[in-house]
Amino acid sequence: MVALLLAIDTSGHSAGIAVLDGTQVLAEQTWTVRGSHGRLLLPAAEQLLRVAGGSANDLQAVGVALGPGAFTGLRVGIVTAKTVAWALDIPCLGIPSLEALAATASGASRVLAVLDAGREEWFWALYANDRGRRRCLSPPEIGRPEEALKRLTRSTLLVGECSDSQQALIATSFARTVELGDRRLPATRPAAVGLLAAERLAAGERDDPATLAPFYLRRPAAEERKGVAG
Amino acid sequence: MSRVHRETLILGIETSCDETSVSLVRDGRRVIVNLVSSQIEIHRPYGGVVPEIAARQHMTAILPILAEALAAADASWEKIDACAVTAGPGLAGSLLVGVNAAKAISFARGLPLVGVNHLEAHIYANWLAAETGGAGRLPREPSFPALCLIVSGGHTELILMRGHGAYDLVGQTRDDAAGEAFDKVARILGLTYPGGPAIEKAAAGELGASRPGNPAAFALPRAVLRGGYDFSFSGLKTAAQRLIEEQTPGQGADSLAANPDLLADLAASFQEAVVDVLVARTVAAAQQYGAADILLAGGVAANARLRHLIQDRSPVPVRIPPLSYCTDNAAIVAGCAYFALKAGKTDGLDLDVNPNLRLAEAAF
Repeated sequence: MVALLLAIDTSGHSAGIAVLDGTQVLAEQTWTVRGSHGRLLLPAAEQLLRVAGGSANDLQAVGVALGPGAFTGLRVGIVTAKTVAWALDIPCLGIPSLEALAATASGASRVLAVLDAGREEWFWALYANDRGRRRCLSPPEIGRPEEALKRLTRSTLLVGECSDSQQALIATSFARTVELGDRRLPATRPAAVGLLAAERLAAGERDDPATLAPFYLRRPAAEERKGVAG
Repeated sequence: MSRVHRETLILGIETSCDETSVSLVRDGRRVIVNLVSSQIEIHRPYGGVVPEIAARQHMTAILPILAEALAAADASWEKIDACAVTAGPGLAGSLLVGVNAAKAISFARGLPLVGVNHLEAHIYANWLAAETGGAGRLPREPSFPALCLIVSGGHTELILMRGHGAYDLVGQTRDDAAGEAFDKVARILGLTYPGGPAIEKAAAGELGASRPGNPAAFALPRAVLRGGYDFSFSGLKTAAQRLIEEQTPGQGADSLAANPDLLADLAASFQEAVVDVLVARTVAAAQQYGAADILLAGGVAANARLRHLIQDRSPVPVRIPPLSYCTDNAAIVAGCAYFALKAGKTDGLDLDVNPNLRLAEAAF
């Protein structure tokens, strides 16, 4: 019998799902189509499970990117993941979105993971890879790209979402410290979420689906304006 | 449906605005359980629903309320025949929590999925038995054609229902919804959100007045729109604002707290103007279209003055759902889905939210 893990990442402009058997990635699908995450997610999950030779009944766990990221996308992915886990009574594992991004570049010693936060800002975090071990050097925060880039002291690979103007900024002012990958490729790798979820599952960890919620990093605008304590 | 020989149990989910609700309904009429988690206190400081806050609340409320509903009904997955959810109209961020939860359940448990139009669900409140727990006498089923008045914070629509899933839009508001007008005038009167219940209380003299408000104390306009049965409440709202300013010269509406009898008269006169227009147009449309029944639906249908006046003036029977089925809830979603399912309508896992979903599009 197969025991599959479904991984979901809807935190960025690109989104997708992956199906894993243990730490083996059996299938992965990503898309970069605006406003489509909710429409595409579960039909894709059904199809990928079929490709992997199984169905929803063969799921052993669900992993999901928790954010930070676009609020609407995060909610689609997380409510889907936790409801599937609850309805099947299987473990649900939340994974920080920026850590999953960083995990796609384990060959680089320094990785800056960024996602578009709107308002010309980034969600960003800094990671180090040292002999196959990843450490978080600077936890997720929200801010203007130059603030994040100024904090880099040595050669760093940027992974994630980077606009044309941000790429120009890097080329003119931060070319010595920042390396950019091919921006045409979708940033999101749901398989990375799946691998991190599989690690947590193997370690006996699980999250409570009832309380699992996006890591927003930003309060609702109405709350900010009103100064409501939160 | 293949399961015609036994009862059909439908799990309903509603998250179109600021209530997270889950229900189990048998055969479209008997409500086994109907749980509603309201966010009203969270939005009160803002004087209205804040979409981003509403969406965040739905995210944390949805699974506990699903689990509680299943436990309360002692229902295992094997007993449930389908999963229904409000797909629109409503707030996009709120809708998508319920829609994606419903799709996840359909995917995980292999259940048929039924996306329901929120307005249509409100109409089907008129098919539900008043009591929960699945017991009690069933009310007479409404007869067709029925004229439905849907009034809430977001809607004011007159709909002719020719049969299950067959609707004609007869009239609608050209500006504010009736409930919206209540909210705005309540704010001007210095009353709390939501405005409908607050104005009703003030009009009844329950906010410190020595007597109930006099609905004829002040003359407010009734908008008469030519051709058809459309409504308009923005002129009334402006007239009410002017009247309140005249009655509280230089003091602002806060001074009304010290003059509860005046507050009662202002609230009663405004309420009467709204209700009078709603009732007059509904009764006239019912007569023109030969309606067999008038059906009330939506949150404003909880207004006692509206309930009284429409029953008083209607030449045909008026059906008014129990109060708990007038405001947003999932029992009406599961109830409506039963008739859709019976007509063979189901949705795929690509079901998407539609914040502007129109009634005709949802007809089954």
